[in-house]
Amino acid sequence: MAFFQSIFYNVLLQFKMSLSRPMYRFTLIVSPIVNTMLIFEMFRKSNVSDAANYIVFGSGLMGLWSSITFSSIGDISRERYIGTLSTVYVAPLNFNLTIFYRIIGNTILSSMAFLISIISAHLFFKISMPIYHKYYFIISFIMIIVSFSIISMPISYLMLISRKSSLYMNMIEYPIFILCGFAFPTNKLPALIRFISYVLTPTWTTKLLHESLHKNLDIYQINHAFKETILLNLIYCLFILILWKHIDSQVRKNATLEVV
Amino acid sequence: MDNTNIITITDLTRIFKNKTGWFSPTEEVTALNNVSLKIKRGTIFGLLGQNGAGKSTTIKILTTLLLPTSGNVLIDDLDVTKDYKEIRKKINFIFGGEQGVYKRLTPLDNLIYFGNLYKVNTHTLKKRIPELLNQVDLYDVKDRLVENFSKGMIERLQIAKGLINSPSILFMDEPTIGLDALSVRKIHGLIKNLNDHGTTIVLTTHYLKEVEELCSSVAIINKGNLVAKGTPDEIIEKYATKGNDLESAYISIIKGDS
Amino acid sequence: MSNSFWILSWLPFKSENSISSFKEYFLLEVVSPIFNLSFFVLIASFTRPNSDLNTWVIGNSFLLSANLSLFRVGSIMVKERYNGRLETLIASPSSTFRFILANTIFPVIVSTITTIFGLQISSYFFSQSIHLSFSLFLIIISSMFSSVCFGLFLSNLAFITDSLNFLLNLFYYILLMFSGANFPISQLPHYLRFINDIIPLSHGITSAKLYLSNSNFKYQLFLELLVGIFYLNLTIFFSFFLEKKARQIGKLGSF
Ligand SMILES: Nc1ncnc2c1ncn2[C@@H]1O[C@H](COP(=O)(O)OP(=O)(O)OP(=O)(O)O)[C@@H](O)[C@H]1O
Ligand SMILES: [Mg+2]
Repeated sequence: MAFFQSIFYNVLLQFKMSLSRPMYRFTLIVSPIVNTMLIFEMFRKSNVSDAANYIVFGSGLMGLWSSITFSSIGDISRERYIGTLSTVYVAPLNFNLTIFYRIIGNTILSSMAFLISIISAHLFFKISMPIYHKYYFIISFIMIIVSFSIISMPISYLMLISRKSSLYMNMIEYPIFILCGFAFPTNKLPALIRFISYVLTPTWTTKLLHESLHKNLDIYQINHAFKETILLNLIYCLFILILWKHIDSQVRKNATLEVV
Repeated sequence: MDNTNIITITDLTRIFKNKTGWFSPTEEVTALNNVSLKIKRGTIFGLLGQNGAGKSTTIKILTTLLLPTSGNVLIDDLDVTKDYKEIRKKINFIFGGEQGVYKRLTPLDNLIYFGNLYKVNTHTLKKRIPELLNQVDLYDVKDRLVENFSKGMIERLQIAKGLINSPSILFMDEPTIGLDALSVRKIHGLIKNLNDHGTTIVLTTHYLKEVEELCSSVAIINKGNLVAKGTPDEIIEKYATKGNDLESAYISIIKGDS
Repeated sequence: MSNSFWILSWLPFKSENSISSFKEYFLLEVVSPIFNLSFFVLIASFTRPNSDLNTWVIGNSFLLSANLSLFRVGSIMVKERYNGRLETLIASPSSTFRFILANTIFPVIVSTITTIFGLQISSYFFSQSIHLSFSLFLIIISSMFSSVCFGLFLSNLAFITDSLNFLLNLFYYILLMFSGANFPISQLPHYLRFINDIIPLSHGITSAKLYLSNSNFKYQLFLELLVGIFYLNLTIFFSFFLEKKARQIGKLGSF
């Protein structure tokens, strides 16, 4: 029980910390609105059958990922810059746990982007999203939160070992948009690149979400996406364990926690 | 020595208006309240006071970076409000700490840049930059990036930067903050040397020993008010209770005022 | 132009963009924009299967390199202030205007190169290659000039606001929506279309599209330059005014 209490407390703390940052609020609120409008205009008069899904949830997913890169991942380079990263790193609270709390907090908070997309699509373009299958939708939404949290972990680690993290922060936003089929199906990608898509969990959670929104569910597809999500997440966790051992020693060897 | 006043401050007041939030009322801070002061040409003048007393505000007004709310400030008979362009040609300033230079350039590039910003002609610069670098002991590291410098090295680079236009008055806001004993001594040497060559220096500091060593004249500000002025000896004589040093005088002045 | 002017242009640029390796330059200035571009071009290929994708390639390669310079140039003054150099800048006998003008040169050069790179690489991937001619070069450099001037105009706001970063992001979104890079302006409500006329880049993009369809592009090119010159003048006007304001309220220092 104490464990859950501590999670709850720390996640709440992270909410407060992120929300206190004006730039985070801006990213969280304005970017889904702009994305919704832009994607709507790009889909306007097209023959895409489930355009509404792409407009609303595509921009929601984009907003989610942008907010995550800004908060969970960007925090590392910001803290390095203001000089608190080394304190957080050596503090008695296990650093992995600190990062984990942060990521969970930020991912949950950032999923507000969906709400904002839904509202803007309704307000500006009168698009409403009927949800035919509540439970499937809820499950896929939870899978999104879990998967996005897990994938943020190794990326945060990589930010630890490079002083150029703000450079790389810019480099992870759009590739995920592209590879994971947020605004167009992955079969638009060249076969070679599609291969990368398949090993990224957001690809499968996005698919899961899209499938769960159809009026006539394709249970086979849902099952498939669900299994892939679970499997990949397990592999990621294993990878995180191995990576951490390596990173921990690198960090101290190369003193990358501070700017020079 | 020429005994005319190079700086004349009369009834200087500076009020800051702070807004704490969108809907909260503005709060007024009187950083300087009716300060009058004269600084003689060719001296090293020390400005003392607690944190937040108004020292930096004074320096910023003198360096034309901030306008007075009321009162009159003359530098070399030029008014800081009206004739600021003329004043800027004669002065320069150094704000202590590690800011104010381009960290990702070499000292050489920094001086070339600031020299050009101060419109020093190229011919003069070619001669002056190596001289300055030698003077502040940075000649050997002139091609290294400033971001790898220690605080003391950056402070010395700041001094070279402050001298790039051969100012007749140099303002220094806490020039020895956070430096080790040897670096401080080096900087004191530089300041004295400059002064021997005729530069008027106005500095603020929290180190009273520094004042005793360098300044021929001081003023103490407390909460925006001028509370004492004179030579260090005069001040010690008038205010010191225990011992016979500036620190004792300073403490009794500040305590007596609050 | 004097030697001194070049020094004032080059050294701050070198310092702020101390891109220590070619790899870094390439990642940040070329690869990253190409990702962004690809995203929008791929959406277009999905929603408009039978269109010539070069329309999107052009619009986005202009937009993204202009965005880079918008952020780079827009934050010049903030950075000067943050690093405690703004005071020296103001108190030096050089005019702020000279500093501003000096700061247009290299950003324009770099973003022009970036646009050319982006255009070549992505048109090769998505459609038939675009041949770089002198006219196209003129269109690119004019568009980059006007966006840099716009960025400088925004940079002046550093004197009076602490939240410039928002403004820069907001203006990026405005460019994204109203420059015509991703969808025709005719899709927007009437009362919003004027924005397209007064922002940088939009005329340049139109001009480039006209050029590629062998139509007369010169009028739009002229408009793009006009927009640039307009913002440059506004910058000069404002820098004078804002410097005075800053001395009154005491916002020159970093703290
Ligand atoms: N730009 C500003 N806006 C609002 N208030 C300011 C501003 N600059 C200074 N102040 C206020 O004016 C007062 C005097 O500040 P000043 O910086 O001159 O103090 P100081 O003597 O230099 O202190 P320190 O020793 O800490 O450097 C302080 O109360 C400060 O909060
Ligand atoms: Mg001070």
